[in-house]
Amino acid sequence: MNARLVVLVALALAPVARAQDLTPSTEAGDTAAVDRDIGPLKDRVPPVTGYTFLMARRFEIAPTFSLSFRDAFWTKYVVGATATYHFTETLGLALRGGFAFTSVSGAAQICPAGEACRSPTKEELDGKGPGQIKLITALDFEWAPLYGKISLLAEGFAHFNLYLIAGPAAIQYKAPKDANVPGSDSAWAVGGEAGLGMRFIFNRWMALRFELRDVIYREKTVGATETTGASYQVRNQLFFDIGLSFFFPNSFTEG
Amino acid sequence: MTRPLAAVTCLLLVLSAPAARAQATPPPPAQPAPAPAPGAQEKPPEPTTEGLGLDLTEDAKKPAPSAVALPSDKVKDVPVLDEQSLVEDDRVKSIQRKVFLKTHRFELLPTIFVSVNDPYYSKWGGALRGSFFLSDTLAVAVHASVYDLLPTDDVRTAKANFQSRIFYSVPKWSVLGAVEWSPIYGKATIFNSIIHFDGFIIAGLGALWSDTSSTPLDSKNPGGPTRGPHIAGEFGIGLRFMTTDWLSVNIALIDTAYVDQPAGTNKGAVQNILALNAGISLFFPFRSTGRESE
Repeated sequence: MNARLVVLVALALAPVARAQDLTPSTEAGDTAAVDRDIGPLKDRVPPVTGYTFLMARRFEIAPTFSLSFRDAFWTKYVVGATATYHFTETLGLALRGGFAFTSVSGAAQICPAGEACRSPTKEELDGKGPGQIKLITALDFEWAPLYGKISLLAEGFAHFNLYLIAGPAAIQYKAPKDANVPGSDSAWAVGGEAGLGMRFIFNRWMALRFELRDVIYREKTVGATETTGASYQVRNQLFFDIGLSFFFPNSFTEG
Repeated sequence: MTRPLAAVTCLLLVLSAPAARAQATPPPPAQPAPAPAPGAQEKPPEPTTEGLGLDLTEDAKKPAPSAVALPSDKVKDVPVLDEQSLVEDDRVKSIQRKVFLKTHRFELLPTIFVSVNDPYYSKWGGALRGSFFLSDTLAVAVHASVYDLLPTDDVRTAKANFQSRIFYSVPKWSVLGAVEWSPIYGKATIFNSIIHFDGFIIAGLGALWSDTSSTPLDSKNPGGPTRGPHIAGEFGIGLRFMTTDWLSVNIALIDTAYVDQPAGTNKGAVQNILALNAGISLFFPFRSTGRESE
């Protein structure tokens, strides 16, 4: 009699226990069971989910256009390209080169004796106004520590990464001739550059990149004589770059 | 014999009631899935990202890889959870709930800045911005700055080689009221940890005092009224990286414009100070009410 009663009570309690077990799982997709089996959610999902692309062991080719700013004498428009190999997801090595077209900066001013001040011509600036860059090459080490998503008005999201670059640079520029001889000669200078960039990722093999760079180099200045020798000044040339990146191979394996 | 049976029956009825209630109130699904057409095979959702031109449909045709390395991959009975299914289960959103909330909080932001547009005279200085957030994306602010001026090497070159006469404004300090709008919120991973950030636009109007502000309006009456402060406006964009509930790192590019008639010339001109600002801000109260969602 008592045994029957115990069995009946046990049978009666079973559905209750099942119902109580199922309640949380029904509400949240059985997170407790998954967490118990394969670990907590935070260990299974990377901090930023859904990388739309990975860079490790891929090449990146990017035609770029650069515009100089904060120019006292010459404004530079640089057409170039950057080739980067990404050793890991965050580290890469980039080789860049560019040819610069120059124009007279809006800030340049000449005030000839007895005349009103005006904007100088290219011929008047040539050899006297520093910053007449023709070629820029650089070998940059790239570190991209930050990958993220941006919520755009709660409707969509954009993937991006942020990177820093630094490395040696070689610059060809128009240097003044010695002994106050008018005109200029081509000269090379070795310097360095550092910058900050951002890639907005379109898909698995293409991205739009923006960069701010400071190219630092030593430039020969006008006024050198045979007795005093050449004089130099350190110049900071700021560039804003925009480029379109293509990644090779154009696919990658996740995980 | 009948009494115990009746008692057990009553017990069964009483104990079954909670179970019946639990079954009768299933929680509504986060997003009701449409019923598949009869006979149609259930297809996995295509991993597309609207609005960005991200077409990942090629991946959908392939066997879905596990986006995260799961220990369960070795166990056949446990279903493989890729990122897409996790997202669609509404358990992991693409950008999870805001952790760092600013509504009704006060931000105090000291910054240093340097101009990036003037090739002859660099302006630099310090600023203090106090903001009160009316909502999570909208704030009103007071922005006070003090300026200093540094001539560059190009001043000497311009004067020596081109006899340039560079008339320049010398700003001293400014106070502006501003409105800040933060339409962009995001998260990023750095060193395998999450940081949250927002992008903001700031615009303001106020007054700027330059070295010509104390110049008399009438040169024949040195003791008369002076020019006084100039009306100034500012517009800028910036990013705020939250490091803790109460601390964030701010960078911003802000242009401050005003009209001044520099010393040595009788022509007034619009002066622009495009400056890169960097600072660390403090939030009061210290606690963000969204931290619990992390």
